[in-house]
Amino acid sequence: MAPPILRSAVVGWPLGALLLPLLPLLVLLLSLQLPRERQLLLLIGDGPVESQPFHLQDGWWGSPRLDLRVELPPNSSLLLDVDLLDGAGQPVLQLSKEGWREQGTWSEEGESGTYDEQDDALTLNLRPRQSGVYRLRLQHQDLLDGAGVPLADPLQVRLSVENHSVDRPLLLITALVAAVLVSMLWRVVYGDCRLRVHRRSDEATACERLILGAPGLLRLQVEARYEEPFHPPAGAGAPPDGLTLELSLTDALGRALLQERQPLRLRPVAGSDDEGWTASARWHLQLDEPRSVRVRVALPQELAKGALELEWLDLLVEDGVVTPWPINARALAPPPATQRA
Amino acid sequence: MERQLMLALVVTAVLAGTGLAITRPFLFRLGQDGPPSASDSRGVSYRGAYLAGSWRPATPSRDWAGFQGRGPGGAK
Repeated sequence: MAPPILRSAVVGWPLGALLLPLLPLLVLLLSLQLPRERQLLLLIGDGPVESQPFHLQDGWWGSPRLDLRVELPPNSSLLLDVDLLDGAGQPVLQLSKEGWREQGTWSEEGESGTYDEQDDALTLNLRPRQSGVYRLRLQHQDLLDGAGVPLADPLQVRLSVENHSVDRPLLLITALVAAVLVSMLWRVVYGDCRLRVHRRSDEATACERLILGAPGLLRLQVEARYEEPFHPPAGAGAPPDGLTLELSLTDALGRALLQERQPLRLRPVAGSDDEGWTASARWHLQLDEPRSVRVRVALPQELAKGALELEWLDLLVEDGVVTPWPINARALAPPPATQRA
Repeated sequence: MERQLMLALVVTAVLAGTGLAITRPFLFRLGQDGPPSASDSRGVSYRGAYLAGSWRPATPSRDWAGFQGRGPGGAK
């Protein structure tokens, strides 16, 4: 029968802290869903081209962002003049962008492939002096091919305007920092238990008397490793699938708090130089009050008539363990004293 | 004690980072004096600057009057 679920050692508030790194990611996702205005401009010849009027919004929720992408012919370069005009047609920002695109093949050490690299995008993050209608005026100069010969190809320019752009790298950094801090918080809360004993020996029985019972749960963890002996005795059988562990906890008066025989599964483990078999078990227990407890764990020294022998037995005892959610734990108390007539 | 401190640290970091990413208080504003720093792209050069709140286009310098190269007279 499974032990009952105890809620007294549950500390659940750090679970809510897991939502904190999600907040910047949620804002980022929301900003990507906001509508944006798109235009396609066609540059023919050397004359300037103006975009359709678009609205730039000033406010606290994000900032305007303009994205321009020029579709350059392969192996060409250009200088694109970009003027941002206000509603009256006066330039409020003027800049030039150098763009290029290279296409070709590469071969190195017997391998080859193609490449298509370009720098043809321009991003402007800015705030307008006041909300209003703006336009872009574009004019290209020096559209040249790879040999420096002027090209007369018409150029397509894709314009995208969004008014509530957020600082995406800062949101990602914030989410990362928050995740690191929350993981540290979890370590502080759930890793803050008392290590009472951690010992590893080559004996098949581990026995410790300890003062246990800090607020929270008592955790016992047992791990054992078996290996094949160098000289297996005659008549040794095949390695078994499992073994039986004996666990007993007694108080200072020798009264049994817990006594059980638990079957464990034996798992083969392939090491770098030798192979072995391991078995492990873990218990969460709760003492009614702090008390002196004798913990005794016993395993068979040999298995299958000497086919496997114990390499080591590892015992870990911690108390003051708290958990983020309810777990199965067994309450320990000495049996009631019998009344004598 | 350290748990409350850690929680306060996480909440402060999230609120400060998210708030700064949304409001972007240090972003360049049109009319702000000085050279614009608004572009996130490479190969960009601004053809002017803001002075006293108005955009002043830079005049291309194609005047060679100030050029004093070494002419034949400078050869020795």
